[in-house]
Amino acid sequence: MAKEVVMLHDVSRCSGCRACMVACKQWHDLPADMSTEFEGEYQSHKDLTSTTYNLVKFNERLDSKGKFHWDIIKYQCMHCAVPGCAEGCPKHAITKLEHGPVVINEDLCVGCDYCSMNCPFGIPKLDEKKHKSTKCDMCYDRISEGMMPSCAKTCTAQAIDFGYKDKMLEIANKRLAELKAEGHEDACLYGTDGENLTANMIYVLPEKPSVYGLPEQPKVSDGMYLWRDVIKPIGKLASGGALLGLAGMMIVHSMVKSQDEEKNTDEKGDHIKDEADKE
Amino acid sequence: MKLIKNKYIPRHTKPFIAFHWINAISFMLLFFSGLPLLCEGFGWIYDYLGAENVQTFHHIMGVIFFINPYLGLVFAWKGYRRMISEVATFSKRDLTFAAKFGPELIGMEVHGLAPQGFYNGGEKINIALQMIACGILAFSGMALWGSDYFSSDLKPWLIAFHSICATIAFAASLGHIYLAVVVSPGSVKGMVDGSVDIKYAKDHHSRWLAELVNNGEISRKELNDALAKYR
Ligand code: HEM
Ligand code: SF4
Ligand code: SF4
Ligand code: SF4
Repeated sequence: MAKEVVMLHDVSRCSGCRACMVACKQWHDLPADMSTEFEGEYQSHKDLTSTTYNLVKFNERLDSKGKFHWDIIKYQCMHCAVPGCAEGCPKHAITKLEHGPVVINEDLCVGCDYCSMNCPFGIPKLDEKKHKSTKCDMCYDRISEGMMPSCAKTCTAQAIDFGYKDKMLEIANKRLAELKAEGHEDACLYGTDGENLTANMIYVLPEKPSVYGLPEQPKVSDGMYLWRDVIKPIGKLASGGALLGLAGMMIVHSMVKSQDEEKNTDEKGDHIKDEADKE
Repeated sequence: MKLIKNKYIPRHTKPFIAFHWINAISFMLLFFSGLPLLCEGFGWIYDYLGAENVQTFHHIMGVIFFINPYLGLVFAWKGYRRMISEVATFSKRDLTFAAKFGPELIGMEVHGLAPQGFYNGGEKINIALQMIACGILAFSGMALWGSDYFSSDLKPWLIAFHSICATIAFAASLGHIYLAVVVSPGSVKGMVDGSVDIKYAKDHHSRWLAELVNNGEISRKELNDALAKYR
């Protein structure tokens, strides 16, 4: 197995400069997205869009003591260990690569948007023009050439890091210990328990995940597995079986009927027959 | 009410027939335009027509399919009320009929079937099943289409409900078509010009005929004269 790679965002170090947003757009040739109105906040876009794979969120919050906080986080695809988007794609257009990135194959994608519905974070966004789904691809093309992802490379505060799993976990655990020592009681890691990965994108968070708008227990829906593992196979069998069964029954039906008619050409048989001829 | 050409008895109104066919055609088009996502073997539908076109088509047909029964309730009120009241009065008689009917499916005659009303037990089951399945299909379909307005936990379940109901409703509709076209071809005329052969009505819906006579909508004499021709 290829060595797993991990991207790390240390929220406590992030200065909110948004250089990573720009770098992401640059590498992926994505146009500026001017769709969001200015509402007097530092928050730029409300959510990821089909031309914004990476968003630095600026949530404003007053804590219990009435102190103002900006909760800044680099928001993007988590590259989940078990990616709901890929598991539930009817076209098998999304692949979890051996070393970690979860990547959409545009050629196979049919734009059904199921991936967005099946992602616990609702990350993938449909590009209306191309009618294809889009999201962060961990710059897998750069990685395969031995480069850093564009966002990690450009980070001005060394908040974004990228590398092999062991190294990243080591850094994450160390930073977490520092935060705890500084008195951040709720500090935690996200995407990992410090040892195993539930995602190849991990965070060091000074506060609870919900403070940053992240679900505490992200989970791929059982509804998706019901659809994929039960309903789809039944659907194929039932639709195909019904068609085949129908053909079979028509043959048997016509055999039974013609036998009847040989025996006795009674009025009822004739009547039904010429009625059928008319239709 | 008069028999047509002394032989055919009016069964369905023109608007009711129109709503039936709009429902039937939009249903089939919806099924096949949705199928590429349920069944890999039908991916070619997307390949030939373009995934986006087929999906847009599915949504437009969905709107027609969704509003059709409500228009029906208004403009073919009689026929729709009949369906609803018949389903609501499902009884043991209907169950026995449906249970015994089996061999007729392959063209054998079953004797001693209880006489049936406007709809027989099997038809009642079919109507009830389609009402439920298509109701869920229409609402889950609309919800999937406008899925931005629904909680994200719900969406995967919407897909699941939508596809299981599509499967059930499609299999049931094949059975329905088979029964109409192959087993009782006499019934098809009722969905074309609205009337059925009096002999067919007598054989399949004798309690309905009795009801018409009791209500004075048709005279016993006229009925017997028409039936006499078949002896
Ligand atoms: C009000 C009516 C309906 C609406 C608005 C609707 C809408 C949708 C939507 C939004 C999807 C997701 C994929 C796409 O965008 O194409 C879908 C999938 C599908 N629809 Fe519908 N639909 C409706 C009725 C029906 C009916 C009557 C059938 C057939 C019996 C049907 C069969 C399917 C199937 C088989 C799928 C694929 C499901 C899967 O992924 O397993 N739909 N529909
Ligand atoms: S965050 Fe969503 S889009 Fe990204 S890998 Fe996980 S399920 Fe897929
Ligand atoms: S939009 Fe594309 S990638 Fe997403 S589930 Fe549909 S086919 Fe798969
Ligand atoms: S890894 Fe690449 S695609 Fe993903 S957010 Fe960073 S720059 Fe964008």
